[in-house]
Amino acid sequence: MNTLVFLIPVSIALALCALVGFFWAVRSGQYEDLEGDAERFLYSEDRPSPKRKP
Amino acid sequence: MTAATRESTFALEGVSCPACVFRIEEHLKTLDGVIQARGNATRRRLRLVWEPGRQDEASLVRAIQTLGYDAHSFAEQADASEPSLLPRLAVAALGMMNIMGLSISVWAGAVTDMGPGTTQFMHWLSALIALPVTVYSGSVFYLPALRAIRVGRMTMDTPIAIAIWVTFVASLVETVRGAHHVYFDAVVSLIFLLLIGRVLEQSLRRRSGDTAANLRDLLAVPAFRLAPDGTLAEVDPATLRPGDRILVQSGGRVPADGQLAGEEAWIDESALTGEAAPRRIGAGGAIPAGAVITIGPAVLEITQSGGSVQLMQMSRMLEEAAAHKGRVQLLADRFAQSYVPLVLIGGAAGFALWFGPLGASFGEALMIAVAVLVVTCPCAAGLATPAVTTRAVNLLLRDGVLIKSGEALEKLGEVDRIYVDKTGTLSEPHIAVDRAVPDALLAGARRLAAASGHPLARALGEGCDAAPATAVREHPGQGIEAADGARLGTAAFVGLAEAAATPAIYYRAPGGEIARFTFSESPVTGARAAIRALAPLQITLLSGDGPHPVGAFAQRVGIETWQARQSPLEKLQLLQAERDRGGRALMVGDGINDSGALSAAHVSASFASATQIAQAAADVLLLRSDLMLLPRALRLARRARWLIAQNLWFSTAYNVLTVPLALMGYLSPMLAALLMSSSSILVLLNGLRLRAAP
Repeated sequence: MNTLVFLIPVSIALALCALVGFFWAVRSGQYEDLEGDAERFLYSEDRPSPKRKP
Repeated sequence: MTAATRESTFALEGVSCPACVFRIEEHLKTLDGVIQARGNATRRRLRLVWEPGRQDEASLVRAIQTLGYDAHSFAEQADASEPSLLPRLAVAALGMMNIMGLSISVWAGAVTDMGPGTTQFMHWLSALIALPVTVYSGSVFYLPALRAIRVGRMTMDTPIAIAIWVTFVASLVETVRGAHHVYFDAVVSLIFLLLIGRVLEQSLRRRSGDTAANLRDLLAVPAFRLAPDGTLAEVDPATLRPGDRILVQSGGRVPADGQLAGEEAWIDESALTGEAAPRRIGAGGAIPAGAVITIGPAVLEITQSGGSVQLMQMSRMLEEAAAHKGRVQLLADRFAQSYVPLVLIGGAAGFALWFGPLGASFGEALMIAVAVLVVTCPCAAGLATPAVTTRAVNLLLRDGVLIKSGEALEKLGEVDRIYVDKTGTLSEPHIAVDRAVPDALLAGARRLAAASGHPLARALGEGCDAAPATAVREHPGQGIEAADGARLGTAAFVGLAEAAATPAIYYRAPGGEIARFTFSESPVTGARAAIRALAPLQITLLSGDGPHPVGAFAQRVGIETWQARQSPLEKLQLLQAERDRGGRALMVGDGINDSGALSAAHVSASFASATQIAQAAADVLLLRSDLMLLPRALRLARRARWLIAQNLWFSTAYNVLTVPLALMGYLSPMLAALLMSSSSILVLLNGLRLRAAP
């Protein structure tokens, strides 16, 4: 019981974080083009990763 | 971003898939001065950030055109569309998952040793989570229902709103009382599942709204009006009026429907018809708004402006298709007015029956009532028609066929016989000028012919250097008369009793001399193939010409029944009689003399190159002069009709079957909501089965 009092608020807080993340994603237009963005990587040119070390 | 950059949005045309958008993106990024290019494949738009010194809008558009697509700058208006439902869906989903987790522990606790205090705690937590879901996500249902109630009406949202709030409040009361019948999980999953259906519906509407906005924006280009004194002024295209003269430079887009006042111009109509090859326009030729002058400059006399131009009709049509209800649907809506109270009574009766004589607990009876309220929602029936018509209209438009109303699509699907006009529709006249005609007569006839829209006259007037005659009166089906008494038309019109073996027109000069111009006819390209494709239907050829040419021509294109010497009135009466008999005839024609028959027919088709009157009268416009479009449109319309019927039957059967199940207590509210959403999804998917005819 005591653990629940602690764990359940934590789980709800985590869920709220996810929700805030989702709202941000919708606001910043990430759901504007579901069709195009899903396929974008198929068509873009392959570029060497800038972080790759020799 | 520095102040030296500019940002603009372009509407893309001719793109059929995300790959096209990315090709444009990649190409533009390689250009000098382009800082950012980001396409949206769903909305067919492209956002560009560029440096004004190195590029301008025209050069960017040209760069897109070199890839074989077209684009125009898109003035993004304030988006008046409804807000996205996605955040509401997310809140509902999250709430549902959390409450489910709590519910599982409560159910598990019922058979183990969970104390009443813990159970109470879980219930209060569920209530806390369910509150935002009900108030925020549920507003999609209860706000419209409230608005409707305020004007004394009930909509399909009414039972759902009642179901949501009754369950929520009852659960809250039970929680406060410390009782066990708590159904927050039911409320939340109900909202979540119903929202899925709404989100799908919204995306369907948006898609056609976007296409319509892209089309409309073709006309948002600057217009240059030519004043009578020859000065040029830039004006807002919305202020153009019929009769105005405008100048469009090479590469410029035409802001309103007009006629070419100059000698010659080449236009690109790809945005309107999908036809990429430029077309030559002669003096007096019609140029539709939205076309691009490829070789110009061109001076145009405006014939239509504002909302009446063809392009605006197309854009309106797209938006209407999404909202189109159809005849059956309108019936269903009227039915809903009396249906909703029945639903409420059914729900109340279910509760009373189970709580009273059948001895169920309060909670069980409540859940049955809620299940009845949810499962009776005819949401699938509401989507049955728009799901198909939206797709059909879009597919046909991509093919080059404009359907003017959703009703026309339904009617096109039930056509059982076809009447076709001959001249101009099926045949192309070639003039065979008699060398014996004196030059003076020929010149006079040509001037008069140039003023007429009749195909024979057009063939005669073609290449005429002199200005067309003015102040003429057109006698539909007979001929054209100038102010000085000169007449051009049928034999009877010039006062001759003569039956020609070939199509001919006669000219009577003001002095009384008569000249005859005969024509040879050839079927338009694709006429025979189109007739063969339409052959299972009874096709009748109608013509105002004499029996000889009509019979011979009918045989050439493969039509068995024909009627010659039909006046415009006779054509109209024929189609009217057909309609009175309950026949479903399609009339295809392009002339002024066909317009009566076109409006009398069950459904009618014409060409974008036809006379204005015929275009206005027809329900369906073939944007390209290709007769093969007709059998394809018919096939698609028939298939659409079949799918609509399927959808309506399915949604009716769904409601008929599930309501008794819910009343008998076999459906939980969650299962009811799941069934309801999946029936909507099935209807939408069934609409997507519609494919372009091969």
